[in-house]
Amino acid sequence: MVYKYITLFFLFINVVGISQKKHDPTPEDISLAKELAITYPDDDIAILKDSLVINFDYNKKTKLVTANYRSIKTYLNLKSRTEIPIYIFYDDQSEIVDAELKYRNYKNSFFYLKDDYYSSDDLFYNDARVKWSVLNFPLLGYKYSLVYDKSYKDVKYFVNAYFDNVYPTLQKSITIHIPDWLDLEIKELNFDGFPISKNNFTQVKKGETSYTYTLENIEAVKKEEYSPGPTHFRPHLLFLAKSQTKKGVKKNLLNETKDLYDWYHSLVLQMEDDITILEEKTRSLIENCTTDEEKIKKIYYWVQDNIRYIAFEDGIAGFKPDESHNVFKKKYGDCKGMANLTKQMLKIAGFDARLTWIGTKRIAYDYSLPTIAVDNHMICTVLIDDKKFFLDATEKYNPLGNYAERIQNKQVLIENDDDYILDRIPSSTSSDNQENLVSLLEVEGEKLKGTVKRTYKGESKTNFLYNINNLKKDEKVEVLEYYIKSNDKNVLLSNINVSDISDRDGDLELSYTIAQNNAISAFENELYIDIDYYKSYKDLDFEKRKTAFQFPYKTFKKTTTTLKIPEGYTIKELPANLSVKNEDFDISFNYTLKEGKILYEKTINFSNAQIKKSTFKEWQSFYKKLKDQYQQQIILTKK
Amino acid sequence: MKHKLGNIVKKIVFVFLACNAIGIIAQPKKMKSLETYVWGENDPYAIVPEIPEKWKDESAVIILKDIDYYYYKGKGKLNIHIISRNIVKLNDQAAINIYSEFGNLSNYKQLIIRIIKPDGSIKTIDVENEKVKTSEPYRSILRGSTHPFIKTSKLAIPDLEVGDILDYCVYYKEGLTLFGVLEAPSVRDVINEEYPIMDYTLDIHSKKDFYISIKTENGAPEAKDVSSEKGKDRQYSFQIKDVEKIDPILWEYPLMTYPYIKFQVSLEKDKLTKAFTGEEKSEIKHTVNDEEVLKYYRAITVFDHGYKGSDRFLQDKDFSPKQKVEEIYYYMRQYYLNQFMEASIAYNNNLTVDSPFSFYAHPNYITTELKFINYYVSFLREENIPFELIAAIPRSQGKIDDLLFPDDITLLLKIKLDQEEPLYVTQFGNHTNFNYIPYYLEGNEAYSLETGNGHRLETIKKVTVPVSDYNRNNSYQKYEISFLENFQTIQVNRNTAHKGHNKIKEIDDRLNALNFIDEDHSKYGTKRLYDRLKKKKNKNKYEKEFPAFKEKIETKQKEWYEKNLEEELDIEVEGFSFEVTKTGRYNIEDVLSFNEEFTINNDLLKRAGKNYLLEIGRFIGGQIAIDEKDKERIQDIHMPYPRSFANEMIVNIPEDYEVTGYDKLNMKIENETGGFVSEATLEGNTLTIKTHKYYVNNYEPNGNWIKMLQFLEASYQFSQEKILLKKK
Repeated sequence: MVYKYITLFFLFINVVGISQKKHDPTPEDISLAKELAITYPDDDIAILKDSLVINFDYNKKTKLVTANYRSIKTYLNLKSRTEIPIYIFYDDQSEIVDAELKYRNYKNSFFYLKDDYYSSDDLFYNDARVKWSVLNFPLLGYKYSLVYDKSYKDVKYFVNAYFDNVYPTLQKSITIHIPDWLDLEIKELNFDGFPISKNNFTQVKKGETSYTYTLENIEAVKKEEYSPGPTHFRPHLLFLAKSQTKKGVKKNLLNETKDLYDWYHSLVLQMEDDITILEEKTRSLIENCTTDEEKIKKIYYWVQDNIRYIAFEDGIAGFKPDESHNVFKKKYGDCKGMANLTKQMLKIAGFDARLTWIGTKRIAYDYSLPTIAVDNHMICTVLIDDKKFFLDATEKYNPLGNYAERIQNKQVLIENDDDYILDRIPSSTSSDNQENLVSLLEVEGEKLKGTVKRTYKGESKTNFLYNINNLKKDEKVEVLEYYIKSNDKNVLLSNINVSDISDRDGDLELSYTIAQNNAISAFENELYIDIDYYKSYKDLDFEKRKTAFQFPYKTFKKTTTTLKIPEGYTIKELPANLSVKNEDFDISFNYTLKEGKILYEKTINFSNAQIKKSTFKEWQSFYKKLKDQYQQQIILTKK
Repeated sequence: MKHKLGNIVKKIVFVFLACNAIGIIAQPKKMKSLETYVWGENDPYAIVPEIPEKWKDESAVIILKDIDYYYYKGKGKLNIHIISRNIVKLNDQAAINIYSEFGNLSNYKQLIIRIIKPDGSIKTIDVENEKVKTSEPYRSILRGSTHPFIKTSKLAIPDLEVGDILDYCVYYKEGLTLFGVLEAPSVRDVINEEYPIMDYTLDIHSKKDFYISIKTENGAPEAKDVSSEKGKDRQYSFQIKDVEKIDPILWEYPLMTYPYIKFQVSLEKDKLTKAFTGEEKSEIKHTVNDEEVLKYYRAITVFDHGYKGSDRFLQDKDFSPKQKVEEIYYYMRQYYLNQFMEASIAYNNNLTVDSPFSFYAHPNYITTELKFINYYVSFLREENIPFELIAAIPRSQGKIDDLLFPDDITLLLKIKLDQEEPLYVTQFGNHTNFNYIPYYLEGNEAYSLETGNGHRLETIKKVTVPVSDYNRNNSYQKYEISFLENFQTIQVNRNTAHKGHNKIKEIDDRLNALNFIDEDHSKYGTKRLYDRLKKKKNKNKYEKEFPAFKEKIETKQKEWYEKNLEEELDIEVEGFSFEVTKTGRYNIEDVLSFNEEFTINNDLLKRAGKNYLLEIGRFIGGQIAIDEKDKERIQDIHMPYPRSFANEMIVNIPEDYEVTGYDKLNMKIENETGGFVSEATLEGNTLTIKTHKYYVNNYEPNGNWIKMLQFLEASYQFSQEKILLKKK
């Protein structure tokens, strides 16, 4: 019962941190914290100094070039009291050698770091591990320094280092000591707009060259929804360990794309696919098909529909595909396993099918950079004469020849025995994904009544099909109603019809009859009508946004509403038309009068699937008008 | 399959909580392996029956749900093993998504799975090889507490497709150390769930020297004793077929509606046994009678507690008996609970150098219901104040005649200084009031127990717990609304006052532990933690860190209130400020009140030429909107308590505007179930709108649903109304 067992110990979880006088903040730290709290009002913590010192070595036992770094971060509390989580990640290829948390006076705090698997919603299982704890700053100006050493067994897994943090950082320095025997290229990426200084110290220590990059007063990286991947905008260094020369003998590491391909290909060659297990199913799928396209579709759609996407990342398995017969038997797999099964089934059907590596839109790099950070996905390519079909079976309900936004225009590395082929996924336009809503409405009392027809193409359709096909059979109609009504109890629906939801090749059509209560307000002789039910993007406010906004796909929405003017009424006022057009968005609102009817047309086109930071100003200026537009009412008055 | 395991885990979670030592226990006797036990020669489900035609379009159908509970004594332990087998037909992708992964497997759960394909072929899953680890076993010692070894893993079921039948079984093993344990935790299982069930079977495997109580409700058949004559074992069996899925609906208590079974196994019949045990071990106990309840409470209550602390408080005070019982309640709340709050906060947040509880000579705190009753009654008896001990069960748990376990009971005291107006007391919390009955007990029949001349309870009778009046459970909100910057901004000042149950529901959220500490200490002469600290380093730490901690709590609370307000009105607000004006902590009749000031950017205004439409109805907050299908409900209506909500909105109309359309805001729907009344008046430039919504009862029979709908729809319609501000 509610008061049956009252606990006295009900507030807050246990946190690490024991403060004593000698650890208490100095007056200088307190005044610095107060100053920084004004500069960074949204942040609880600032990092005063963040230094990363990187070294490379050679392991004679494993014959691998290794990398290691020491990270020292000094945190300062900007608020009265703060608790923050701290995380140090590592995995199969790396380890945390030592980690210490120090007080202001650099005395060790002997705090305890928990060590556990890192779980993420995107991956069912991965080998990433995390050492973590919750750090308590009991007073304004309280300071801690976190020091740890991390080492990588093989330099190819050490790929980049960022300058910014989740907290504002007063000074970040990255020092790289490169031994003369190692050819390491450092790519400086997204440096524009950041005054990063670089000092070059040649031969300070015999046999190595050192570089120190420094950046000061860096804003915190905020986690925002629909952001581009970090490599697109965060300043960072990308490390390309190209070769090593020991005793005059040069050995390539990842010197060029071919080296990366060779490593990938060597992993593919280790696979032992038993395709006999797939043969019967493959043949039965294609037995009545007459054209190549039909056969490809049958196999591609079967893998989409029957193999559950479950992501595993476990050591080398993060790079090596699972054997096709395993995926076929288990009926689940990650992208690599699904790509390999698609490939093997297509090969049985007589096609030239190849595994294909690709970095999704999230990654800014392309294959001109020989690094494992260039890709994160695998698909299958079918070659027929000069034509290529790219098949991504993780994209459920995706028709053949259509490509998801996340892979469009991305470079692909296609297997070709000892060589490789580079190509690019074709792009679509926003009109390929067009969504139409056509309604015919009339006034009845304070209601709007009529019929609505909606059509979906391309990715808007794929998206719709995926969602509806994952609903419980017995709840489909109910949920569809909920979707149409946006949970608005003023809307009553009937005659809901939807076209074949198992057909991914055709367009999708949804139609219904609607009665919308409280859409009209009647005052004296006048009717005030809110004609736009779906006020799309009315909350897309970028006032505080820091990163570019990415839509799930290139979006084109067209709304056409015809409203019959009721007998005895005439138009007193129609809202003014509104339009805006630039490289990222093209939006218009039009009201016209035609044969006793008001025609309201709204077109919204995000043709690049994004609003770049450079167009934020234009968006914000339009956004004010958009909100105002949605508040406008049509006024009818009695004749 | 996370939720499936979750159901069973919930049921035995108290076992894990009660038990520190988790040992490896032998499987129930006769079981060679789980596979042979479940899928062996005698498996009645070796041939799986067809799904009935009426359920062909369901997302999934549970063909069998078969749970076996085993209870037996091991070395110093009461062993509880649960074997739960489920056979489920998966009819669509949604069912595959739900059933294809098992999470939260651990080293004290064994899982076996097989898949029956549409062609009848059977695939057994190699669970041990397929599962992946999600956490390593670790042991850490952090500030004195020890974390046990836990190894968890999860599983993605291979080769699972739409149309398959999943046949899986989970085996949990748990051991309760026998020290002080005389009964197993009670079990209650509502049969219906989100999928229909063809066959539900529950078996309890106990011993002939254990007691058993079993009760089934809401049309569920009775459990049968199917034990064999020979041997020491006993078995009780319960079966129900053809169970429809649950479709959750507003204002419903599943235990009042759907069939369920509840049971408890006890080892011994002793005054320390927290169970109602039967007379004979050989008989199933189906009911609990008056005498047994009296006997149970007579055994566990001690009403001659010698504590005299209250005497000091009462010294030199000229209280009437009524004042005395009330003042002592608040005094005890402070003495036995709230005076330790600072220590608790300090302990949990490292605010002192040494353990803060060490600064109290003999800390004696009351955090259990029974201890509260014993202490408070001892006072009543010393003062010769007549009282009854009421043992009630929450309405959501059923009727008092359905009572089977003591842990369903909440105790309260009825003080009979005035026969016409008795006073009620329940265990205190940080902000609870004297003369308060928890809402969940109201209106239910309960036991009333009384002492005779001695200290022991002597008599028992049935009484009905009184139901509070809707006017007493009231929330009142007053808005003052003005338009600034040519309608670009709406300035709002809101004053809220909660009374009765509405106050109790809100008070823990609106006050923080540090709001009331100083006031309580000075009122009752208890010593602040700071004054108890002797060492300078402790005092220094406290002086610095307590204010910092308080500032943080208040900042977080303010952020939370702002978010709460935005959700309540479904708008974005700016410039939010919040202040508690009355805490209502010292008298049930006092209100909890607070002021909020904020601005709204023109979200609630729609433009129409030079005029504006104001969505005035939204200021009464989101109203319950009943779905068309729920208008046809067949269930009775079980609500928390009778309640009322009043709003007053004062809208200042700008000089060059006039208001029209406010006549629509006059509504009046009232009937015996409740009502919604609203009234709008215009005086000069001030439009005042008053609304009153109330629910007369906490329960309505289904026949009254149509009457409730009338005022529910009226209040919803009000929330959609707009007024026109017209340029003069």
